Amino acid sequence: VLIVIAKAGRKKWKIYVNYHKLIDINRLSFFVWFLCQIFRNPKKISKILQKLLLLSYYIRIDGYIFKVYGVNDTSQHNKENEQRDENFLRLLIGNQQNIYSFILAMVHNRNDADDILQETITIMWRVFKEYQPGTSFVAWGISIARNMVLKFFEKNRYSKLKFSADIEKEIGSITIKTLESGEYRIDALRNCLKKLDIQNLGLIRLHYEEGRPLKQIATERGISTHSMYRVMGRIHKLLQQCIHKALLPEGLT
Amino acid sequence: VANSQQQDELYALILQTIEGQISDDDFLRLEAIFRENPSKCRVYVDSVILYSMLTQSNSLFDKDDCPSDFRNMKLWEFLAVEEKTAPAIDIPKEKVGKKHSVKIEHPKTEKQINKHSILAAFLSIAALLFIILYPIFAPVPVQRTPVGVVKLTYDAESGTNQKPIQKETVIYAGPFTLAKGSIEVELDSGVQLVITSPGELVFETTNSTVLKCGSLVARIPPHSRSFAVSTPLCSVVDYGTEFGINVSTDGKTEVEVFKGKVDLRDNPNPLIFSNSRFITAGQIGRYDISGQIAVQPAREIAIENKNMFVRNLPREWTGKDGKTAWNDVSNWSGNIPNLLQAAFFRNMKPGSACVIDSTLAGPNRAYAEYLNVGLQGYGCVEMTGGELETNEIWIGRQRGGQGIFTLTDGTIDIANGMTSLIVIGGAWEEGGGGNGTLNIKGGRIRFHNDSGSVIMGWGAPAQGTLNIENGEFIIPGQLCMGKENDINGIRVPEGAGYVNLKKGILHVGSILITKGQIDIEAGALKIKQDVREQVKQMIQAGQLTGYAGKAKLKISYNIAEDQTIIQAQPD
Repeated sequence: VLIVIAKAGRKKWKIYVNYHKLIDINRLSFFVWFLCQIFRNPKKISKILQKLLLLSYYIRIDGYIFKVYGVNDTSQHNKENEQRDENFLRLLIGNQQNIYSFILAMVHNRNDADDILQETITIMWRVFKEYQPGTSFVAWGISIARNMVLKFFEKNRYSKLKFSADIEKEIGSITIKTLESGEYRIDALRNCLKKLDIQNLGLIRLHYEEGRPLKQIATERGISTHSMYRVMGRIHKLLQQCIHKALLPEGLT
Repeated sequence: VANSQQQDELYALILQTIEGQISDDDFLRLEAIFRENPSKCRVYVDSVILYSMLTQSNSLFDKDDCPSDFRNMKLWEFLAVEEKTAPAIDIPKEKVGKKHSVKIEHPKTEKQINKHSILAAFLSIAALLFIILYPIFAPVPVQRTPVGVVKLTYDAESGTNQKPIQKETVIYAGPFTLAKGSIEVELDSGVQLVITSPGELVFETTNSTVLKCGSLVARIPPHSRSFAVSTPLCSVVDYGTEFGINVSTDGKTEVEVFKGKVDLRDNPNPLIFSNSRFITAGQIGRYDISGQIAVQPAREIAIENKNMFVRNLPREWTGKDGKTAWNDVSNWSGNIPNLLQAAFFRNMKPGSACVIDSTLAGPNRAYAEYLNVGLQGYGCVEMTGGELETNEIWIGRQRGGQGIFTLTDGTIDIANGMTSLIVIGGAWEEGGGGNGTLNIKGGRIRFHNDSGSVIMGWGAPAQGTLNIENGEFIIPGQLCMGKENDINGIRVPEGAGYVNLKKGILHVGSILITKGQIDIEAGALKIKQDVREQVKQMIQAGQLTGYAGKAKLKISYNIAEDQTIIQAQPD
C-alpha cells in the first residue's frame, strides 16, 4: 500500500492510496494533524501512516474507518510502540471533544481554541507514558490543557476580549462539572438533531458540516449577519433545551 | 416575547464570541450579563459544549436524511421580508457604564539594565552594521532571465536534481538537462520545443537555443522571428516551420524538416559560416565531423523502428471515477488529442472508462495519432457510437499493461498512414507486452490501408484476446497471433493470441498462428484465397477449434469471392 498525503492548501490535505485520491480532509483530522505536529516532514508522515495502516486493524481518518489486514511486525519493541500508539489514539478519539470544550470555554474563541488543542495534543503525545491507565484521560488531558490556556492568557494578557477572573473561575468550574456527562450528551444531541425541522437542520449542516461561515450564508440569503446569528442562536437554544430535557431523567443536568 | 428575544440575543452573543465576530461593546454587554446573573454562565458553558460537539464530532448527521429543500429560497425570502417589515421590539440594552468596566492595573516595573538587554543592544548594532555593509561587499546576485515555460510533461525528470519536472515550470536562460521523459516548452517568442530525453541544452534567448546532445522538435509560429539552434559542430536557422534536430554524443547532427525549410550552416555560430544548405519539407540533412553537409529524402519509417523525433507529447487520460466522456477537456493532461497527438490511457482506476459516444461524429469525431489503451497499467475505452480516427491502436501495451477496448457501436477508422495497425497485447520495446482484450459487440472497424493488420501477443508475456460477438471485422492484411520480438539483439519470445468468434464474421487477408488459438462458435472465419490445406494443418495442430473442440469444423472455398470459409458444425 502506498499512501501519499498531499497538502492542497491551508488546513486542506488530500490522501492518496496507490495513487487514487481517497479523501479530502478539509478540517485536518486530529490524527493526521498530530502526525504533522510530531514529524513535520510529509514523507515521514506518509511512512508512519503506511506503517500504521499495515499494523492496525482499524484506523479512523476524519470519520472514515478503514479496515486493514496487514503484516505484523513481530519485534517486541515495535509491538510495544504500536500498542502505545493505539492506546493513545483510542483514548484521544473518545475524549478529544471534551478537552476541546474545556479549552473553548476558557478562551471563548474557536481559532485560539484550535491552536491550543493542537499544542495540548502534542504535549499529551510526548508525555503519554506518564498517563496512569485506568484514571480519567479527560482529567489528565484537561490538566495539560489548563497549562496551555494559562500560557495563552499570559501571552494575551492585555486583550480586551477577556472575561474577568471571577467569571473565568465560575465558567471553569461549571465546565468541568458538565463535561462528566459527555457521552450522554452526544447521544442526546444526535436525537435532538433529528427532531429539528428541515430548515433549522439544513442551516446547522450548512454551517457545521459544510463549514460555511454564517456571514456568507447570510449574504446569500439576503439577511443581515446579525439576524443570521440570532437565527442560529435560536437553533442552539432549541437544541440545548432538547438536550436538557433528554438528560433530566438521567440526573445529569 | 421580550424575554424570549433577550434569550435569543444572549445565545447570539455567545455564538458571536466563539466565532470571533463580537464587537468590544457587545463583549462588555455579555460580561455584564454574566456578572449580574451568574446562572447565565451555565448557558455559556452549555453553548460551548454544544458548539464543540457540532464541530468536533463525526457522524452526527445521517447521510441519508440530508434535507433536499433546506436551501429552499422561499424560507429565506420570507425571513428577509420579515426582517424588513416586522414591528420593532424594544429590547432594553444594557447600559455600558463604568460599573461594568474592569480596570486593569498593570504592575509598575522598575527599570533595570540587565546583561540580556546589553547583549540584545550589542546584537542589534551588529545587525544594523551588517544591513548597511552587506550591499557594499556582497557579490552581485545573478539575474536569471525567464525565457519560457513548460506546457506539458510526460514522465519528465530534470537531470540537475533528479526531480520530476512539473507543468508550468518556468525555464530560465542557462543550461538545462532532461534526464527522463519528454517535455513541451513554449518560449516567450511563441516557439514551441518538444524535447526528448536524454537531452542537454542551453537556453540562450527566446529565439536561440544550444543543443549539446539529444533531440528536439521546434515549431515556429508564422509571425515569429527566425529561430536558431546551435549544436557543437553546426547550426540550424529556421524560416518559419517545423523541424526536428538530433545531436549524437560525437556531435553528429541530423535535421529533419516536417514543414517549410531550414538552413543548415557549418558553424555553431549561425552568423559566421562558410558553407550552408537549405533543407525543405520531407528532407533530412546531416552534418558530421568531416564538415560535409549531406541532404537526402526522409527515410521511410518501418513499424518496428521508433520514430526519430517525438513531434508531440502524448495526451494522457486523467479522468477519475466512473465512465467519462472523451470530449471533456478536463479528462486530459493537455488538450483533447488531435490526429498528431497520441492518446494514452494508463493507471486508470479499475471500473472507470473513457467513453466515445454518438455525439463524436463527423467533424467532431475523436482523433488520435495512436492510442495506448492500458500502457504499463490499466486502461479502458468503451465506444458506444460515433467515430474514432487514428493510425494505430495498442491495447495492453508493454509489460504490466492491462487494456480493454469494447466496441458496441460506431466506426473506427484506421487511417492509411505509414502504419495501419491494431496490437492486442504487445510491445516492440524490451520487456515484452501486456494483456489486451478487444471486444467487438457491434459497430465496425475499417482499415484504409490494404495491408492493415492485427497483431496479438507480441513479445512474451503478452496475451491478446479478441472476442467477436456481432458484426464484421475485416482485416485486409495479416492476423498474426504470437509474435516474437528482437530489440538490440535481445530476443523476446512470442506471446499468445486467442480469438473467440461467437457470432459475426472475421475476414482476414492472411493468418499466421505461432502461439494461440481461434475458437469458432456461431460465427465464420473467412480467409482470402484458397488456403484449405493450411487450414487443415491448423486444425490438426489444435490452433483452430469449433465450440472449444466439441464441434467439427467445415472448410469450404468460394471461387467467386476467392475465399476460404471456416465454420463450426455442432452435433
